[in-house]
Amino acid sequence: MKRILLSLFCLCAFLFAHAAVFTHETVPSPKTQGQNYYVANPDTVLSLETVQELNALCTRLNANTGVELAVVAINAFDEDHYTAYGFALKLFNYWGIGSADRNTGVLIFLARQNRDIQIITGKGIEGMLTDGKCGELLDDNLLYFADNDFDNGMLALCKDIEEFLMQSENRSELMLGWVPEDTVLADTLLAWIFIGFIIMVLMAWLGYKRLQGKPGQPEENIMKRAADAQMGMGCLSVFFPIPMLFFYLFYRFFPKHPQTRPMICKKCGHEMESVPMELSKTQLKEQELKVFAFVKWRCPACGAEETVKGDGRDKYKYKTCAACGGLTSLLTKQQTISRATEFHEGERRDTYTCQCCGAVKVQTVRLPRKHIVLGGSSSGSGGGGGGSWGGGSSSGGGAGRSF
Amino acid sequence: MKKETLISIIVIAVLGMIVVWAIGRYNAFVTMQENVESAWGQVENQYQRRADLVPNLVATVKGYAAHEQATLVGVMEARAKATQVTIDPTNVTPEQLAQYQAAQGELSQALGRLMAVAERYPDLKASENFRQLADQLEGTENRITYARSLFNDCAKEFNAAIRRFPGNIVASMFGFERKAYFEADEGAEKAPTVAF
Repeated sequence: MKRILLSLFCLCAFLFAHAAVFTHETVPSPKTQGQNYYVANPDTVLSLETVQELNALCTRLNANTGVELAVVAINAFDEDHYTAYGFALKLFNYWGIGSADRNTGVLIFLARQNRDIQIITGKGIEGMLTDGKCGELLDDNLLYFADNDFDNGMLALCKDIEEFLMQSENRSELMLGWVPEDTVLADTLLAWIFIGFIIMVLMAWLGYKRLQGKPGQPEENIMKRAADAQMGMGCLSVFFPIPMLFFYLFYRFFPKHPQTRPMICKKCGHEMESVPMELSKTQLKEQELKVFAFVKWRCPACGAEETVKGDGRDKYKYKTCAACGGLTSLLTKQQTISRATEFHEGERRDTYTCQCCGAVKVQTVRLPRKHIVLGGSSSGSGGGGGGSWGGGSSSGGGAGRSF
Repeated sequence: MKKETLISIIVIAVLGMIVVWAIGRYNAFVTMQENVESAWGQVENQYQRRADLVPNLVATVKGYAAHEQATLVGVMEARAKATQVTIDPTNVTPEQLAQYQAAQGELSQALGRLMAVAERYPDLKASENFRQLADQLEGTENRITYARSLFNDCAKEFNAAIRRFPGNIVASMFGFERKAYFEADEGAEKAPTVAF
C-alpha cells in the first residue's frame, strides 16, 4: 500500500512539475517575498546571485527615481494563447507595476524557450523610455541573450536602464512632483507631533479638571482615576517626551489636593476654616505617606465641625497592614520563584512591609500560563511579510526582440 | 387606515422604487457610455500618434532610398486620407466606424509596403534613426491594438447593459444606442515589423 501511494505521489509531482507553463495570472509575484523584491524567477532561468543583484538594483532605482522595474524570466508561455508582447502587457496590467499616480513602471519579460524578450513601459514613462529607446537598449544587449547568457544579459540590460533613467535630466523629470518616502515620513511625523501636543494639552486640562472633583467630598475613585490618568500620561510620555516633561514638572510643584479648597458649612452656609487636629500614629503615617489627608473644618459662624478624610495621591500603592490596621503596607520585594510557560503556571513571592509598624507579610502569587502562539512572525529583509506593486498601468508601449 | 389610502400608499411606494431603480440604471448607462467615449478617444490618440510618425519615417527612408518614389508618395497619400476621416465620438455608427477603420487600414498597408521596401536597403536598416522609428512604429501599432481591444471591451459592456431586460426600457426611453465594435482588419493581422 505504502509503495503504491509513494509512486502515485511521485507521478503526481512529476506531472505537476511539467505542467508549469505559466499564464499571465499564474506567474508568482516577487512582492510576496517583500516590498524590495522585483524579480520573478520561478523556472530558475537566472542564477540566484543575479536575482539578488537585480533586486538590489531595482530597490535602488525605486528609491532614487520612483520607478518600479520588474523582471520576469520564465521558461515558456503558451504560444497558442499569447504573443510575447501580449503576455508581457497583460502581466504588467495584472500586477499593476508602477505607482498608481505616476505610472512609471517598467517590465522586462524574458521567455527562454520561446526566445523572446520584451520591455513594457508604463503610461507615465513611455515618453522618456520611448519604444525606440527600448528597442535600442535591447539591441545593445541582444548578443548575451542570443548566446544564452541570460544572467549577464539581464544584468547589463537593467544596468543600462538604470543608467539611462539616472541621467540628470531624466531623473529630475521623474522626480518632478514625486516626494521620496523619507521626507513624507518626516513631514507627517512633524504634523503628528504637533497634533499630539495639542491633544496632550487638552487631556492635561481635562485631567486637571477631574482631579479637582467636588469641593470637600472625598471620592474614593478620584485618586484611582488620577492614578489611571497618570498611567495614561506615562504612556503618552513615551511618544511625546518633551511636552510631557513640562506637564510633569507643573504637576509636581503645583499639586492640587481637594482638601485645600475651603468647605461650605452645611448648617449655615458660611465658609469653614480648617483647624489642626489630633491624629493617631497610623493616621499620621498615612498622612505622611500621602495615603490619606485628614482635615478638620470648623464653621466660625455656627461652630459646627466636620472631619474630612480625603484620599491621597499614593493611596493605591498601599495595602492594609494586619498588625497595626493602617493602610501603610507597601510592596517592597517581588521574587519570581518559577516562570510561567505555555505548559505550567508560575509562582511569585511578594513581600509587603508596613511603613508604620514594620510588620512584614509574605504572599505567594500564582502566575498564569502563557498562551500558545501558532505560526511565526514573517520576517524579510526590507518590508516584512509581503509587499505590493504600485497599481500602475500601461497603454501598451515598449519594444521586443526575438533572439 | 382606510383601504383606499393603504392601496395608494403601496402604489406610490412601488412607483417610487421603480423610479429610484430607473435613475440608477440611467446613471449606470451614462457612466458606461462615457467609458466607451473615453476609450474611443484613446484609440484616436494612438492612430494620431502613428500618423505623426509617418513624415519622419518617410524622410528617413528617402535619405537612403530616394528612388522608391511610388511607395513613399503612396504612404503620404494614405496618411492624408486617414487624418481626414473624423468621427464624432458621441455618434459612432457602424458605417462611420467601418469607414474610419478602412482609411486607417489603407495607411497600415501603405506602411507595410514601405517597411518591405526598406528591407532591401541594408544601410537604411542599419541606421540608428530608422531602427528607432521602426520600433516606434511597431510600438504604436501595438498600442493601437491594445486601445482597440479596450474600446471593444467598453462597448461590449455598454451594449450588453442597454440590451438586457428590463434595463432596455430605460435605455430606449433615453435614447441610448448600441455602439459599434472594431472588427478585425482583413488580412493585416500582424503589425508591420522589420526583421533584423
